[in-house]
Amino acid sequence: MMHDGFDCDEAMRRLWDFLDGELDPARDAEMRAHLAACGHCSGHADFERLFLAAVRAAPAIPGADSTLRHRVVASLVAAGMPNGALPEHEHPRHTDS
Amino acid sequence: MPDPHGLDFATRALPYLDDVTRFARSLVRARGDADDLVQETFLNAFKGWHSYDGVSDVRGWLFVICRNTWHRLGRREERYVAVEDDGMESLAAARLAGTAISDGRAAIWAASDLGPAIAAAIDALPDVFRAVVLLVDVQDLGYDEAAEALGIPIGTVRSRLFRARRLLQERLLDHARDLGVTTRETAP
Repeated sequence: MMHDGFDCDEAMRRLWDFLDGELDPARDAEMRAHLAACGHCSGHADFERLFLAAVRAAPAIPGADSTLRHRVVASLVAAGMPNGALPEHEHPRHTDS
Repeated sequence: MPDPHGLDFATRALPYLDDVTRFARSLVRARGDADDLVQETFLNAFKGWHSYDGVSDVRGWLFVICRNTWHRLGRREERYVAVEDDGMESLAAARLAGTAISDGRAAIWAASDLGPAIAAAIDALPDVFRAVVLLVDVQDLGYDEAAEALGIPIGTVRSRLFRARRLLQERLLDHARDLGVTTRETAP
């Protein structure tokens, strides 16, 4: 179905870019207008939005644990990085209690 | 006298240790290998700190070093025949969404306990798809940032990302069917 100069297939081709905030302002505005006028495409957009929100809410990849942190800092200090600038918890000999 | 080179690195690069760790764990599944990569990345970055231009994003600079180190360690991406037509991927995703909306499985996205299933589905993706979806959808990098970090064109990021999302949706919607999530009424 045509709305605002492009059809639903074109809207679906642009949907991920739109949801990811990757469209330029003009195309972004076209998409918003299309979705406001087209219940079919707005339903799909809602589906994909909820999917992305669920993925983003999934358990995150953990950052460096204390073992890795100390290992990296110790190797840097051994390579010549002064530890005087490091906060106490970053010092190689510091251990988490 | 303090070493300005080392102090600068400690205050400007080291705060990105968590980000680099997450990036390495996006590239490498085995935790021990990923941790080795993180350590090697920071050592290489420290040695090359003089080449940092002082202006560009330090995190992105560290990601590039991490990726180059990963390649130098001999861990290369698995061969993947690119699906360059990301428009076709988007349309395929739309068809999948249409089916899931009509049969009620779309309700799975609201399930409060979906996290472990999503984590398992991401982990089951082939490496090249897993890395892109972790960078863009989990760590919130833009397409351009992911492209620079991985050393691939933006178009490849898009095609891999869209394919990865469709694969995730297929797996999770199968999971929804297994759980009996549907609103489709059977005919009397």
